Amino acid sequence: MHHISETILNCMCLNIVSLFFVFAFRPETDDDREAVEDCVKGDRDAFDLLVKKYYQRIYNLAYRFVGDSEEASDLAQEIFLAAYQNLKKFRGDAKFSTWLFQIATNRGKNRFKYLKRRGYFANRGSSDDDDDRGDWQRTIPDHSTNPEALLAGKQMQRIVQDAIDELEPDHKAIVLLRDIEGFSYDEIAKILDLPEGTTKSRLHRARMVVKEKLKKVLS
Amino acid sequence: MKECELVRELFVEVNDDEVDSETADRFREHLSQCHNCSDEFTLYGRTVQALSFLDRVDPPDDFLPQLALRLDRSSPPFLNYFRDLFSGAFPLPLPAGVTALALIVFAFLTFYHNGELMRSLPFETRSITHEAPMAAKPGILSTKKMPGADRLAAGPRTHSSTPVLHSSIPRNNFHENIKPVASSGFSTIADRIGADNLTVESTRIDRAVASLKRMLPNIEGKLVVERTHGGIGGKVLRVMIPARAYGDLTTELINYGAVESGAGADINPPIVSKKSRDKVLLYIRFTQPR
Repeated sequence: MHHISETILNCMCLNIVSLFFVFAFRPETDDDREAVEDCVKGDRDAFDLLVKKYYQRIYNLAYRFVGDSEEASDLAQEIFLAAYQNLKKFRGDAKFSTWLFQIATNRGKNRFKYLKRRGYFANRGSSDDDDDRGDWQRTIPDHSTNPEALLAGKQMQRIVQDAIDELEPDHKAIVLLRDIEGFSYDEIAKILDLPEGTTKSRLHRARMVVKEKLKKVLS
Repeated sequence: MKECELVRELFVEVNDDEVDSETADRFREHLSQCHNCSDEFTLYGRTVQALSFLDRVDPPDDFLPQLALRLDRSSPPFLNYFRDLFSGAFPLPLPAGVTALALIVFAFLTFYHNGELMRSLPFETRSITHEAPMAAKPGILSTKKMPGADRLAAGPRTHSSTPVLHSSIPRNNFHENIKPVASSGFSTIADRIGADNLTVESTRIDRAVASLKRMLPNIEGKLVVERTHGGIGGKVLRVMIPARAYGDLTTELINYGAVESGAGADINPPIVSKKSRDKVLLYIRFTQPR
């Protein structure tokens, strides 16, 4: 009798341990897996579903990379096109969204570098000086009374965008992913293929650069 | 000063509220004593806030239709199999890929050069004398019935070791070997069977036709019309070739099983192009061996 109860107890312990392992090491659930599988089989509608789910976020990220709606449209479309054409290579190790944002970040960085080399941001900055920037430099509002209003203001938006446009591509990517898209460090590490520690230290350096650029307006 | 650096390194964690209580206490204690660090942390917090206050920008209304158009124009993912045949299955670093490509090109050039070499050898060493002149070697293009054989048996006939139908005709050899069209006609083996229309018997018509098509650019010829004809898989090709290439082409076709019969009743007789006297319109019929 004693042996039987001991065996049952052992079995229960084993079951609990196995359940723990199953839950601890189960693969990440991906809501998009089914749509991705259908799409690889040639179902265009399935890809349209994925587009509808992510296009606003991807467009926003693209916009923040290039700072212009026309360029952002083209870049965001290029990102989806690349995803569509390379879907067969998606192995499902990570979530589809992580993979998509990985493509978006890489393409965004490349487009940003390309535009920067061609002096796109410098030219745009100088043209802005004639209108918006000139105004805020002449009449800096008293943000101490209403800092949120200042931060949400159109001029401030432009200033912050200009500040991140001056960042190095790697710094810009990490700031966009964390502070604008709100990804976790774990997700950013996967998207950028970096260790989590490096992600944090790079984010810190990037923010410090932005801080220096915004010092005049924020202090 | 060193402590200031350490404290500033903690800005990310403190801002995200990811430090333990002891570290948080020491951090606050330092800020209360160090105005520089305190100001820096305030500014740091405002910077993060400013970044997070950036508006979400909505895509334009025509974004989705435009994207749909671009997706429609692009190839679907499953067609990329061919594009990714090598890059996907055997991912190679760029230098290895380039080296492999260079080796392939080198091997091809060596092979091609050997072919040219064979052609440039003296006539006796590169030709095969056939006891039965029309006993073409078996292969894609083969013959079973050769009405012109008896006439050809009068003399030995050459057989190129590098068949034109499988590779290219070296242009320089063409000019040396082929006599131009003249009032006396074509001084080649083809002339003996008077083959303006040729029928090629082949068990693999599709490959024979493809082989001929590949050859045409090399002799500055072009395909005018291609259509089905006769039995299963039968085809008639109307090709325009330079007169100087006529002899070599027809010789090669004869070597591989061409016979002298016409291309068919529904086909117009061959003519010399009216536009230019140095072009020849040739009808070549491909049929299954009878």
